[in-house]
Amino acid sequence: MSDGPLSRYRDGNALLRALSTRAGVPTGVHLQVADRCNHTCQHCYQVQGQKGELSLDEVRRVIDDLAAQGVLTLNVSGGEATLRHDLVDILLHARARGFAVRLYTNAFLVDEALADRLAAVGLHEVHVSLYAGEAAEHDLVTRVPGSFARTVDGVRALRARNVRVVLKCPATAITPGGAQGVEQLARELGCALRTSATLTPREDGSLLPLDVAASPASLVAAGLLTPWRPHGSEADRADHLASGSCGVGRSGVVVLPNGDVLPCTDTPLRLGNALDDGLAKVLHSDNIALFKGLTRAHVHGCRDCDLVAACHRCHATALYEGGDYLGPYASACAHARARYQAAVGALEVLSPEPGCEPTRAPLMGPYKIEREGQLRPIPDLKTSDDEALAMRHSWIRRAPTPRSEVSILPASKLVRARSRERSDDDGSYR
Amino acid sequence: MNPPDRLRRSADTAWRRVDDEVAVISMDANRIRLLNRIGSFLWERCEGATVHELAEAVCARYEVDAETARRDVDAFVDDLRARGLVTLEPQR
Ligand code: SF4
Ligand code: SF4
Repeated sequence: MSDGPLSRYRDGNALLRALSTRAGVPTGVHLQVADRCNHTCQHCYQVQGQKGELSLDEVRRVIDDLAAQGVLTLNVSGGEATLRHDLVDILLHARARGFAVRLYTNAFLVDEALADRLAAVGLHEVHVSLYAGEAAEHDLVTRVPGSFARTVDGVRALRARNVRVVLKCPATAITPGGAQGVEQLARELGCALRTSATLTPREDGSLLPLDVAASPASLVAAGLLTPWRPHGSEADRADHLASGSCGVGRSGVVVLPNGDVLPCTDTPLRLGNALDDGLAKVLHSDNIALFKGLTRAHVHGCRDCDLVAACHRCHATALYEGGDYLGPYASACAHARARYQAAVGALEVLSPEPGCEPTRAPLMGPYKIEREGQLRPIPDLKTSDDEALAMRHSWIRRAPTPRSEVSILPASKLVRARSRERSDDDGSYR
Repeated sequence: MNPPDRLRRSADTAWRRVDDEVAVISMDANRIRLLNRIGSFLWERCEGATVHELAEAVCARYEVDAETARRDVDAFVDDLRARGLVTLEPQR
């Protein structure tokens, strides 16, 4: 096709990168607009009602600033974003400022009228969490009887208006048929499906959400953990180690309902406040510099581990579960072992190599593959660079959260940084 | 006679002005369309506008005769529609 007279076409990748990285800003931002939810999901990482919310006018100012910084996509979420009366105004403003907009919702409040208004916004995608293909299992997760029916109705209403919907289904131990059931529903409703195998700790550090995590063996059986495949060559392994494991602080950041900016939903480091400090300052602070260059090679232990290609570790979970943002932790090792076992059949974990830390949890990595099916734990070696990094960013190490701790609140990191008026008060959309 | 259709930017786009040009990013294809000065002028006004209104805006802003403006706007809109970056929708 020939180019029209007023435009020309370019392969976007290079320009897209140039657009977002020329100023060193992330391409996408997760904008939480509501500090409350109408569900109380068992696995949820959030603590509601502690942060306060920006007013519509303040949210608009943050969106303007994000546009000025060159951010391209906005994921608008909560809490539950539809609890705000002014959600559609927020979305329209984001659209008018040139963002591709995704809405994250449980769709519980999406009736015909709201579906009409959402369809009129022009949303790139609506992401809806659905935990099972039938009501009993789903409602067990949300702890809201009737939530399955309303969520599915909400999805239907959006699909009837041709809004693209992505169903998101994290695996849990209390929804054994979850992914399969949601897959079938996704087909029926014409939705995309995204499953995930891992849960993360709560944002106040509590490990309670992990209590409902599905076992590694069940995840393998459900096809949610795929068999491990070794690196093809040493060069592949080197490339893997030289890359970042996730986009924390680099391809995305999170703006909390009170305007505070975090590197990702789970990393407990306040980079600043979008309103008080301005995003230009926040997105170029010293703190965020750490994330720009963060690679797998910065993760001690893991960089020496033969299962690193099989590992889905998350820095934030590592901090809460293992006490070190840049170190191994037991549940990631368990997933990696399950993937390895799925590839090789029987698995034996041998006695640790001499020099392994005596305090390390049993069976934990890093590992050497001694021969096929045999993993030997090897020492978790920290270099002086690791120690220097941990000195410079003292938050990256802390005492791990005791597994038994039921930490409801207060959590020091969730202390209200500013008290904001609620944008509305009765909690319902209508 | 039905009222003329109005333009709507595709929900699968993001856009940013880069210096003099607007870059329209299509999320699905992960491709970018760069608009020149006049194309950028049109993109920034196209939401909810008719082709006729856009042609009038071009005439008001640039020294160009109505016929040329209309031809260029038509070609521009056809091109963006063919790439799924805008749709023409009946007025409600
Ligand atoms: S640190 Fe964990 S939660 Fe944060 S972006 Fe990385 S993988 Fe995701
Ligand atoms: S040590 Fe554990 S967490 Fe680290 S790469 Fe190996 S399996 Fe993963």
